[in-house]
Amino acid sequence: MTPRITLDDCLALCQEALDAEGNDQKSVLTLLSSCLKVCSDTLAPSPNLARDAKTLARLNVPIIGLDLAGYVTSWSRGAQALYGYSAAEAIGRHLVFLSANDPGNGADGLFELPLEEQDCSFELHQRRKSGEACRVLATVSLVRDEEGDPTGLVMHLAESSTDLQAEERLLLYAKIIENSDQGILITDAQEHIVSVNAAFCRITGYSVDEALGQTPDLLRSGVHDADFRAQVHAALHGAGPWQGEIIGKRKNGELFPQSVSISVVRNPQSEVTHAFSIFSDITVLRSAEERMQRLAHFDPLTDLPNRTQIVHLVEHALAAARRNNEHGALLALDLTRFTAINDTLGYDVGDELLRQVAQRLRAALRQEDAIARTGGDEFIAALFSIQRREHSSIVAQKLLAALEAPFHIAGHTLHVSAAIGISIYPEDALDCAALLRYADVAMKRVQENGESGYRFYSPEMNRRASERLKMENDLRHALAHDGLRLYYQPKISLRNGRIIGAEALIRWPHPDRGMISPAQFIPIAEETRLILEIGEWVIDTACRQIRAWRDQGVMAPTIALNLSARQFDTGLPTRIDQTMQRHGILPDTLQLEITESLLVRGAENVIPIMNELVARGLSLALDDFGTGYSSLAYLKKFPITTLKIDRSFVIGIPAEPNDCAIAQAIVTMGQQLRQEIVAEGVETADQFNFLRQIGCDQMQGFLFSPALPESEFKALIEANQHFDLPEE
Amino acid sequence: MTDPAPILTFAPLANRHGQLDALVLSLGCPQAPGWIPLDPQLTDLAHAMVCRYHAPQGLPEALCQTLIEAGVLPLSVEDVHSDPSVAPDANGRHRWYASHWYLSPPAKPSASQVASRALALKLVQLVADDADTFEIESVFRQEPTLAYHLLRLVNSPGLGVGREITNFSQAILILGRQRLRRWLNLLLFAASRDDPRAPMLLTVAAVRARLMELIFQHLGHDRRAQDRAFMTGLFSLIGVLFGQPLADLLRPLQISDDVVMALLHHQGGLGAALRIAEAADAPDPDELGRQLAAQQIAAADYNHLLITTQLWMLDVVRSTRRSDA
Repeated sequence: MTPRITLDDCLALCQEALDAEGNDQKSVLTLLSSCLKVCSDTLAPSPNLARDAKTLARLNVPIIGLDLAGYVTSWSRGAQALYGYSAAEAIGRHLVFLSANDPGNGADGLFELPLEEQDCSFELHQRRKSGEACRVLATVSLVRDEEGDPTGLVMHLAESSTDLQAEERLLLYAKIIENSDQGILITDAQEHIVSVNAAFCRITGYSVDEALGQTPDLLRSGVHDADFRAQVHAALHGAGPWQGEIIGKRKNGELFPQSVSISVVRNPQSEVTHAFSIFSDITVLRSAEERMQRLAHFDPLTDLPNRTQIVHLVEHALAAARRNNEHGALLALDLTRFTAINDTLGYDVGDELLRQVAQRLRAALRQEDAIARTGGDEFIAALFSIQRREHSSIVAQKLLAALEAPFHIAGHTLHVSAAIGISIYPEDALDCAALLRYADVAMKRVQENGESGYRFYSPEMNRRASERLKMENDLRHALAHDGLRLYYQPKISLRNGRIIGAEALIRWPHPDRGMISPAQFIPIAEETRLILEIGEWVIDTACRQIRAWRDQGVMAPTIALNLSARQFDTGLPTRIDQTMQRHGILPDTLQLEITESLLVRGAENVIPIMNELVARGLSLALDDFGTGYSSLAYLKKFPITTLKIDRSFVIGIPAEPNDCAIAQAIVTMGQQLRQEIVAEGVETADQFNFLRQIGCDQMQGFLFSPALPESEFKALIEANQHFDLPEE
Repeated sequence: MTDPAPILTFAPLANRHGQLDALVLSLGCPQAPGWIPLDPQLTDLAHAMVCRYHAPQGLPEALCQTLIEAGVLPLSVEDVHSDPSVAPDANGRHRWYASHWYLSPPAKPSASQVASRALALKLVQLVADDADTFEIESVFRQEPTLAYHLLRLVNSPGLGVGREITNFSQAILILGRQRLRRWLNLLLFAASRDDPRAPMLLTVAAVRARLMELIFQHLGHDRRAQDRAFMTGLFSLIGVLFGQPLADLLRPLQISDDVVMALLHHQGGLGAALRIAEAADAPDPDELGRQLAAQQIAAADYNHLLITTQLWMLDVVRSTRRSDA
């Protein structure tokens, strides 16, 4: 048995090397290096090592000492070389902060740690100071004191050597690629083709040599628009996996439809190094009949439905609307100045213009709406399901806005606009021919009066539309000129009547029309995206107010703010953080009230934003639980602390058994999930007593206080008022 | 307001494995005349765990009857010993161990041991199963050492959070699931065995935490304040658990000042609630009566909160033992 080599031996050799010179030194160093090799292969670091942090620090082998909780207590020179962190930077940190925290790289060795063994080895996926990822082989052992009780941990590290299996794997992958039935094309970061397989050559007609070094434009058919190409281009550069149909062009010039999926390969720095497209020729799948169908129902120039098709769709929708009492609208749109363009610049330019107009109009509509080209420069848009008739005017504005930017065609910069006439069903008529005629009449009126714009067929709708427009303008003005106010409605403990919060509610004292209810102007703000500015204004105003109260020595409770679903994007946590910092207030002074309608955007998009808000110390309340898109399964996944019982249930309490049951269920569920329950809109002592009895925590409502202007609310909290609770 | 209810306290008794085995009910405020009725939940509690009552000065006949009907029998003093190294004798005497032996310092100070491997393992399982934050938080709420280490971790250099942590779910979200998983594995590797005092200490800490949370709820504080109350109760015993001064242990944490002031100096509303929780597990009925009066909490309300707390604690203990098995 060979004598065991310890690091102490190595240290002795080091000292020897320091004292020696020339060839002697060289031979000592050679010996040292082989000793260290032996050590690093077999080393279970000796316990004394960890205790002597100073000794450890001098070692060139990567060794880390940890306390039992995992915080770095010593850090060798070798560890510094491996990770890039100096001892001063590393000591005091926790081991987990050396780990790469990429969700994609799921399990690493630490997860597989055999818990009961004395020593164990595993592979770690970690990140150097430079940000570079590395795989490290770690051996960890417990350091024990004289009585055998653990006092710390020592980790001995080695960078993982290149995986031998990787080569085999590569060979295997190469075979799979080459023999695939599907065409495969691999490009580098500059979009040059670096590899294609046999199926690629078979489908496209290009040989390998012809394809290599080219870009995928080799197959470009020219039938796709710039947007579409931009999507594909983005996918090639790592915007995310992409799947779809692309019309390609074979070497012989023949166009062919292909079903394509594009993904990218990244290096450890997360840069895209290659992109691969896998495609199959789906020409055969497209039956001739399908094409016939298309010709009969679609306009070949713009690819939009034609008159036959839209009439068919409208008839169908009208039949459904009669049954279900739905609202819809037809918009007849006629381009202005088109004839002049066609006459002066030629049909080619005119045709291209129509194609681009069609694309913009289509893009401005919702998926479920339809748009058709029904004549030279005439289009019909059909909105099959609108909640309010007025919404059709917003769509008309959108369509007009979509045409505002100039068109660049064949070196010309072209401006067009449109006249739009709107008929709505069931009010104006319930048969397709009449609706089309009415929309046309309204459109002609726009043309008579001037150049562009929109009108309704019915005079009453025109009046409403202009009122709406006025309100929107007034609202803009109010927002810009300090015309909006925040009121504060106290939230009261149901147990002892103390004020434990307040909901900030927006109020609009209109100079001519008096107080305008949020129910009137918030929908308009939502539709016009003014809600984003209003939302920012609310957050800013509330934060400023909280700060002002604090400066005045007023002990204000938590203030709850309402967030619109539109505000709820990935930038929200940072925006709120910045606003809070600007005013110097802490997150625990704010609560954010969100609504279930958020979920329409998909829980997987919304939950990370909620988590981020909570991680920043804000608390979340769910405002209208039970009224909308409820999903009990999601409720558990939301990091919310507060559930609000909507006023629509509270109204029915205690007379309506259904409402009582719902309120009771919400309370029970909230208690289960440790969420506090706030009832809104409490107006009577009966409601109060019922809510108290079922275990509701807080309430707000006229029974105690309406929303108050700042001065009155401040007076209330300064007086430290406890509200008297009704007797049971 | 007339308040005839007696003030209750529960002292936990351990079996010889150091695990909770019975509760001893004491009734304070003996001068109060009509003591009946007792909280109806008492029957539930007596079903969930062996309950005995202890009344050295004796109790009115009617009250004894009520207690016995609720399933709470008188305690036989011979059943209880104060030294856990004494084994039960053949007649079943000394089957329980009272006194606060588990409140004595550990064999050697250590701020790193996991008090309950069973709970830590349960956490690992939850994290591996990608459980909801809510469920993960509920385990931290049962294990003060894990909770303490979690807060320390999110405030350690390298993460750079630098903001006050107000509840455990916030800390879980800051850390992220993957780092949480790595950290737990390392912690389990390092923690070779359980502290023998742990089951009873965890029981007491859980009771303090939950009772303080419920008191704050009762006093009409919001969820955030309730969270702080819970944290105060849970951390009130980590000094004992780690065998280190509480002030040293709290220093690396960034938690609300009112929690720190309550833990170190019994100040503020949280401090007052902590006094109640401590008097309840001491048990010190006179002090308890004074503190409840100072907070204007009626004895009947307090009793209800306390029994609710005990029921919750038993749930926790049971679920831990289940996952232990």
